[in-house]
Amino acid sequence: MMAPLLGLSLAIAAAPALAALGQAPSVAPPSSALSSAPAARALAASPAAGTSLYTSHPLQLENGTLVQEYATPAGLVFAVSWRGPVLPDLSLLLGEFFGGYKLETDQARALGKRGSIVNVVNRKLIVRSTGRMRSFAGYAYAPELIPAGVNIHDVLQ
Amino acid sequence: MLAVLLSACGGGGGAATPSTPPVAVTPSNAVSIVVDSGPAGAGYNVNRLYVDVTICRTVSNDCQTIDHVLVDTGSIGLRLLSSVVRPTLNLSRLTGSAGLPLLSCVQFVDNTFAWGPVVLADVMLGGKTASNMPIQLVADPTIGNAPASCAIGGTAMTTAANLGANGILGLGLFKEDCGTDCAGSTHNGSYYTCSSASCASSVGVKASLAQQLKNPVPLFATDNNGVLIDLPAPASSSATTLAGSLIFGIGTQANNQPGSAVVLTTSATGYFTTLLGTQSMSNSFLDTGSNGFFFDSRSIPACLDSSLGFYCPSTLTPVSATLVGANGLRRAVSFSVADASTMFGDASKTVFPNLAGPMGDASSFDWGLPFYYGRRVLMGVEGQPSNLGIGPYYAF
Repeated sequence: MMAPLLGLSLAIAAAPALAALGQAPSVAPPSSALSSAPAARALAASPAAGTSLYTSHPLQLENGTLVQEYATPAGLVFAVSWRGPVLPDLSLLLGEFFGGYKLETDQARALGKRGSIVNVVNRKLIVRSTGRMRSFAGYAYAPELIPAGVNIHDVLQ
Repeated sequence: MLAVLLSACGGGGGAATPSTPPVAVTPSNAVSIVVDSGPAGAGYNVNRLYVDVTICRTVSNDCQTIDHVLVDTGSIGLRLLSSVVRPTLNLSRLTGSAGLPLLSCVQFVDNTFAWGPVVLADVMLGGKTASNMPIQLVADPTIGNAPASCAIGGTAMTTAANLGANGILGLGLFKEDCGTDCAGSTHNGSYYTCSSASCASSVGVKASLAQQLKNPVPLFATDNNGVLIDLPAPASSSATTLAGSLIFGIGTQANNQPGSAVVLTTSATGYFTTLLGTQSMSNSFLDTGSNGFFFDSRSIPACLDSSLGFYCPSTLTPVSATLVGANGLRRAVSFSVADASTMFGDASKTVFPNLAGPMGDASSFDWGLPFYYGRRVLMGVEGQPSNLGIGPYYAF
């Protein structure tokens, strides 16, 4: 079960938007930005952690799902992962890469693969989205954005 | 028994004719299920399990039978396309905190979602009735589009053509589709209410357990502790259709005795462990809504052609695995994987016992509908006692 949501007041004070692959990681915006906060509101963006090769930015969404963004030292998100009771807004998380994801999932359903887990594997984008009602998990990354020396499988463990 | 009940219910103006011929003697706790090509105009469907569902306006004899509702043990709740539900049925809507319609969102991992109002109906499956049950009317044209937090950029399920069914009957291990998370949190991602009387837009809202979409089984007066899915093995490596029974109750009638079934209890989130070679996959589950065996093989090649997301071995490849419950009990399972491209070459076939594909997640094995072929699989609902124990559990 998901942990109880304790930080509702924090969400009102700071509702960071989800960041997308290829963009800067999430930061808490000034409270004046609240009116444009996305519907998938985040409870809190935790301090960044990581190694000298990349940083990790955990983001607890108010719907109970935990999103992790992984950024290069230059501040570009090269991978995201999620785990929780509902899916995060993948159109926001994947950003410019979302179109490719949508195209492949549409094709998979047309070919008879309905209701099943998603694997997208191409040169620009890798997506794994799995789970079922109440329990989802997945990750996405852009291979061309992975910093030199980083093993993506270690990052996503 | 089935025919008597249907006529007593007014007969309804079904969306189409029943998919299977009437069974002469059907026990009141069983209903026919079938794997076939789905409702008319529903595209290419393989390994999809369907049932007829009858809904009635509460406290009335005004009813409708809807064919080709997908049987999905990976979700909870009855969701019907609003386009197949007769408007004159006039099902009453539930309301959210401000007295405006309560709206349900459900997301699926294939980048689709279903969106629509929650209404009350008496739901009849064979001879069993779940009275006054909240169900979802999917793609109701009087409700505005889903908010971004529901749609998440995915494709809305709005027609039989893109759903591949007239609705979804979620018969998972739990009683509600969301549970306490949605009762306690406004921005829960599953329940919304209209922002204004026009229902052009919506906002997140808490939904009590009573308001949430439900597994109908615990609402039955009897035979309410779980389900048994009983499907025969196809006679060959492919078939046009496959018919079986969905039986309610575990150990409550002569037709649902567990016999020598081994009970595999699950984690609180409904998972057990699959051992495959040296791999241990702790997030494993059974799911009639998945149309193949999905797992990461270290040796079977994925299809390179248009059969995206499936395996295409050059020869029939046997696989052996062991399923381990949270209670430590084990059950060995063997199956075979065949070339998906060859299977899909004959579009007249919808039953493929050897269809499999990669999972993309080394911690998970999704035992889809082919697992159920040739087995009697029992599922105990959370909190419901039976002679096999208290759910959630699987047994086979």
